[in-house]
Amino acid sequence: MSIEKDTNERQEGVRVYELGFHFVPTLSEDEVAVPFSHLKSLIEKKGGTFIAEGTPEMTNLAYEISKTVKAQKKRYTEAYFGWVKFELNAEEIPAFEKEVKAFEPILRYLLIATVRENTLVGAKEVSSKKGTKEATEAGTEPTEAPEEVQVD
Amino acid sequence: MAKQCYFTQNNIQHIDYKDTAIISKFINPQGRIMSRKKTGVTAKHQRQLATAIKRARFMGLLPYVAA
Repeated sequence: MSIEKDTNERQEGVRVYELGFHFVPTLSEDEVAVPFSHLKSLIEKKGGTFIAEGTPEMTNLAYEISKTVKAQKKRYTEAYFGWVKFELNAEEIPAFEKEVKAFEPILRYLLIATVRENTLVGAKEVSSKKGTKEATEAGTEPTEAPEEVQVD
Repeated sequence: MAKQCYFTQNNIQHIDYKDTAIISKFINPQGRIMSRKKTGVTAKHQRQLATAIKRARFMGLLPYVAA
């Protein structure tokens, strides 16, 4: 029942997307919020709704990325990486991507179709889970040790 | 004993390209994607993993060729 309701309420052609992007590092830490909110306003204008986001943070790039602006090639080894997960009608996507492409502070972007659930796990969470497993295993060891003593 | 899939063990359904800490475990020192033989990852997850690594490379989060 609830599944049928969901599909009825959901508009046709609406899918979940994620836009990952790098802003040029020439912006200062405070200035980064401006192009980020502009990107989000582009999504809002198209009738999209936000699901999750990662605010742009300075990251070192694994290799040099260049961007040509007005016949001038500029190379960058670091950039502000951020992402937005949103819901948007599939028909709006080509126009949206065109706007993103033309948006000047963007060094590189990646627009992908994804799922609504949170996909970002993080190694810390995984390793902490493993840590608890090891702890319980260690807890069983002392019970084995006395048995050996009895044999002696 | 056969090695088990990292993603199945940790109950990870979707592999995200932004999770560089996790997916960088599956590239070798040259930056190449490790084979299933080495990773022990299920076929489904290995496909997802390959896509995630390629996306991370494009976004400059992982290297194409590591020095």
